[in-house]
Amino acid sequence: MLATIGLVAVVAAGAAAHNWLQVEEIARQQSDRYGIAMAIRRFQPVLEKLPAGPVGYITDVDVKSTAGQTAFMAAQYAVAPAMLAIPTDTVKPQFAIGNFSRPQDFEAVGRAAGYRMLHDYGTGVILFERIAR
Amino acid sequence: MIVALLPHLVSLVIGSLVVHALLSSSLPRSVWIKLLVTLPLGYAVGAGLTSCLYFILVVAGAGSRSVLMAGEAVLLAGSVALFMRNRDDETGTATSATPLHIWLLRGAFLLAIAFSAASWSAITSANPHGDWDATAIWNLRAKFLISGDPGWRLGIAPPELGTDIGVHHPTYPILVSSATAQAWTLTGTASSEAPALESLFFALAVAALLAGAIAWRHSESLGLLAGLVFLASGAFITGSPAQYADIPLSLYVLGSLVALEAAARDAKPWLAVLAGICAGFAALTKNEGIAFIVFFLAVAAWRLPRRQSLYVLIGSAPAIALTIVFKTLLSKGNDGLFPATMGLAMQRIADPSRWAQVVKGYFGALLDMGSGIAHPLLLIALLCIVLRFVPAPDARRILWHGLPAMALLAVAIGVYLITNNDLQWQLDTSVSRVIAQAWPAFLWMALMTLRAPESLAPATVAPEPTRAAAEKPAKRKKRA
Repeated sequence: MLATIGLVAVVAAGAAAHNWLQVEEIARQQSDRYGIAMAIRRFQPVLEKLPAGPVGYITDVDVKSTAGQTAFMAAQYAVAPAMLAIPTDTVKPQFAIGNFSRPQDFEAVGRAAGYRMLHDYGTGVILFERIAR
Repeated sequence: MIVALLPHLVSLVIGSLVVHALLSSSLPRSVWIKLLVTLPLGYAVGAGLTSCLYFILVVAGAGSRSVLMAGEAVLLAGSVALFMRNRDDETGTATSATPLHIWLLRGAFLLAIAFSAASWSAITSANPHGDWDATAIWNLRAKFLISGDPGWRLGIAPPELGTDIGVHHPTYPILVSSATAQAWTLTGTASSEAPALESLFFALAVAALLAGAIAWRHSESLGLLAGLVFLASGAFITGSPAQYADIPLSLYVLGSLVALEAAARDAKPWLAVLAGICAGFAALTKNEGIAFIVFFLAVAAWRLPRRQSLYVLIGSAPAIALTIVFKTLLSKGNDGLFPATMGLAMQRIADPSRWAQVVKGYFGALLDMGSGIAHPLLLIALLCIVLRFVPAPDARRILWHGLPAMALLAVAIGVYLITNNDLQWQLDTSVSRVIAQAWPAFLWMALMTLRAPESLAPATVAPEPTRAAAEKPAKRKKRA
């Protein structure tokens, strides 16, 4: 009986050690899996301009795609307590942030969504303000 | 890291003093077992108390650092007073020698704890903000909570804008988010370390309580084996660094069942109160905890004398009240999880392919909990064969008390059957977490129903009596 108890203890402790060796390898391959740490760094300069309330989210990545949802989630975490919302014809918060994957005419993209560019922070982060009608 | 540790240590101290006072004479003399029971339950109760305190302060518009510190100082003073009132005067150590196999098991358990903590550290270093739901739900709401008014309202009751927004599941119970927010408020910074350490503390507490509770009520070697089997399974590795609410829920579920069983056997009112406190915090941790507490209170009413079950209700009442206020008055939102009509729900329940998919999902998740000869179910089966079961009435008593945890799994099956979401996606993303919520309780039930190795091997020492039991002969002698 003591032999069985010993066997279970050794196997279980061994499994915990095996798990550790496995996750070490996986963790190395999946660092900052959702880009949260990067989003926090990128959006840091714009935080003080954002209100604790709805803020528009303008991007060149389809927000229905996995990459778009991940970028949206990471940006939301980085800018909270601002609450990101995808602008529509009826929903246009006063400020919007741009989260772009590549350089482009940010002014034009913002204008198409009803916003003018206030500041380009680099790394694809833009602050927009709603164009008064 | 040291600074981020402090709020959790404060919660641990407050809770441990309260738990020690509540358990007092029920605990065994062994310092090792005492620590294995008091510290994890202490963290569970302390984290719950400080989380509730912070959330109430935020809602009252007084969630500043200084007010929170004052509030926690009051909690600390109250817990010290409670501790002094019910102080355990026992100064001696265990009278009987600890057998060698127990020392070896303790060593193996500590080694497994070290390996598991190293796994947590590796994953947390790579992804310090946790997994998807941590940043999309739990820690995100903590960021809203620390922002004061009106920011905290956005996290739990966002305006309906009619477009995609960044806040999801605002009505999920608040305990874990608020615990993180109170740690951030105390340290003055929204660091990734505070929620990461919180998740580590909860996971270590589950392993320790599992080992300690079985050691306390049944057999130390079985307790340590239960802790080892838990640490060998994937639940700890995937659950803890993810920073989700499933591991905290599993701690509250386990704590409430352990205290309920002890209350039923020892007839001590404070054990019943402790069971209620843990169950109440389960309801405030996850929606599954709300389903759990319904079954838990029903089992308590059925298995305990009326006065004892009233104590359970008293213990759980504050957290239940806060859950009701949160769900009905403060939070707002619709998860869209359930079908709009009863007819649609019944149609889905009657669909055999959904049942097959759910059963397959559960089996798959159970198989994924380990591999080869180290699979936890295989290790449990081996122990069952070798040790065999306690007499049927004792086994039945344990199983009845474990029923609410199993009901939690049954409720989850019901939710899977009727969910509006794509069923396969829902299973893939959540079934292993649902099992993790009840897994420690299942291990507790399984090993509590096995015969103690100490009772089978004549050369070893029987488990120590509790202080209360040890005092009985002395009292009798005094009376005579």
